[in-house]
Amino acid sequence: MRRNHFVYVIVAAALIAVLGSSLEFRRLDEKRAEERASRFSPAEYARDFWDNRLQTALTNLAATDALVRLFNTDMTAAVRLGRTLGQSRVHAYLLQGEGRITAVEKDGLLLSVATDDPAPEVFLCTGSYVSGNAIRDASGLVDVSTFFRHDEVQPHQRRDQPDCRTGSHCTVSRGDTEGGDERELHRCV
Amino acid sequence: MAKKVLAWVIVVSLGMVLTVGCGRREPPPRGQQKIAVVISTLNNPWFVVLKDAAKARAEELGYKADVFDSQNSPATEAAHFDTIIGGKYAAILFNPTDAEGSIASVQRAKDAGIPTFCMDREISASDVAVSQILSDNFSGCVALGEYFVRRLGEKGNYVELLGLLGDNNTRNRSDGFHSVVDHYPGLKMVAQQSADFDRTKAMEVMESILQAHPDINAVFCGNDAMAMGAYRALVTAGKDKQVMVFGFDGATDVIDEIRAGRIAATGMQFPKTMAKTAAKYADEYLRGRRDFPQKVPVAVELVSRENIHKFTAYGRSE
Repeated sequence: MRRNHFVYVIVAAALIAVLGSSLEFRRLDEKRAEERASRFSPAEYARDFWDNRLQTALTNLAATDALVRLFNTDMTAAVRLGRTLGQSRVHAYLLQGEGRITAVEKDGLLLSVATDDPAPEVFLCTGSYVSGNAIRDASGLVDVSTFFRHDEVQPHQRRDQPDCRTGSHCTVSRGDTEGGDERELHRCV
Repeated sequence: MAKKVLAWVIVVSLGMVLTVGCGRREPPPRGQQKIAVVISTLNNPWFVVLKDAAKARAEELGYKADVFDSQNSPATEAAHFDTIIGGKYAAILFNPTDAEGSIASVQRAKDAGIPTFCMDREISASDVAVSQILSDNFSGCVALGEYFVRRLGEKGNYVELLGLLGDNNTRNRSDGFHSVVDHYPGLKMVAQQSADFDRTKAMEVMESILQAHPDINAVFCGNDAMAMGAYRALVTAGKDKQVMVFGFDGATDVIDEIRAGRIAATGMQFPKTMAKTAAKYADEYLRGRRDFPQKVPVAVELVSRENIHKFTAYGRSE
């Protein structure tokens, strides 16, 4: 009888040792905090992109007037200067320059940037909400392959995010399908 | 004794020669290699175009191409992968049924040494398929959303018909659209329902929604099949003139309806581009290339009454 008890104790001890080594007790709030910290945050990603990573791309900007002239004289060269994300006919550029406002529309400003031509060549978007992925595409800083899911790479601009209207640089994307109209202007956001 | 040793040496040498020979077995010539084209469904004409383009390009590159229709069923799709692995196919051009549910099949193919290239629909894993060639759905729907806001004058009631809920494209399209439209308080979504990318189901869902919300101004649909279904329901209800319909795909009937002024706009995907790229990548992989981008977004272009002359079904006019 005593021998049986001895066997039970040994078996129970062995079970406790095996189970004990495979179990871990932790506070639930700590575990949740850890999960939150490791989760991808689109807002933080966008903030870091805007505040830090984008700044590095703003040191080498193309001149807006020169690019506009190139569009009119050598489209192949102009296209070569732009960036595309994946396979696309839309080319995006990071630009800087000065222009004269020729008209103010609801969604933005018409600008003339080429000194020898008073006609506006650029439409600077300044509507109540500026959407699009021009900065993502023009900077060349985002590699979609690094994202687990396709939609994680699409941080959309929120109302409380910085507005490029206040910056001295603009991003231009050119393509006749943007906005669905035939406007021969270069769309800046 | 010496004879015995010599015999052993010969036997061992033969064994080594055979083993090394098996390890270096050359793959069959390309004309004999098979590529599997696995498509989520062939009930939708858009996927038929994807299938035809993938098969044709694989054959042009010198492979025998076989088509497998998953009929929107992950179980059927998994059975196809069993057949493909057992049939010693060289590569798979794959249009998945489910972003999560299809991962296991692709992993099994990978384990069997068969590379998979996703077309149009992604799987939610970045290290299983060799490459995923996908429409930039989010950006395409940003453009559609901007046009939607303009056409509606920033105010009105609208309905959204979603595609298959397990498909990442459904979410990407809806998120892209809402990333624009939700910034305009005058635009109110009165109903949002799934119609599984299906024309008949979209018609039924739309008929039901119209009973509860007869005063809508627009319908945004996650694909063109649903746009056509919704449009038919509006015609039946006599509301097709007052409600604008927006689709996504660039399918034949919707392109025709945009040209006729009956549907407002769609997002043009390029299934032939995606299929040809996938076939090209598969060929390059089989020739030894390994440095493929995991995700290759293909731009989606807005098609509306303003630029319809530049487009044809599933692509540009040029």
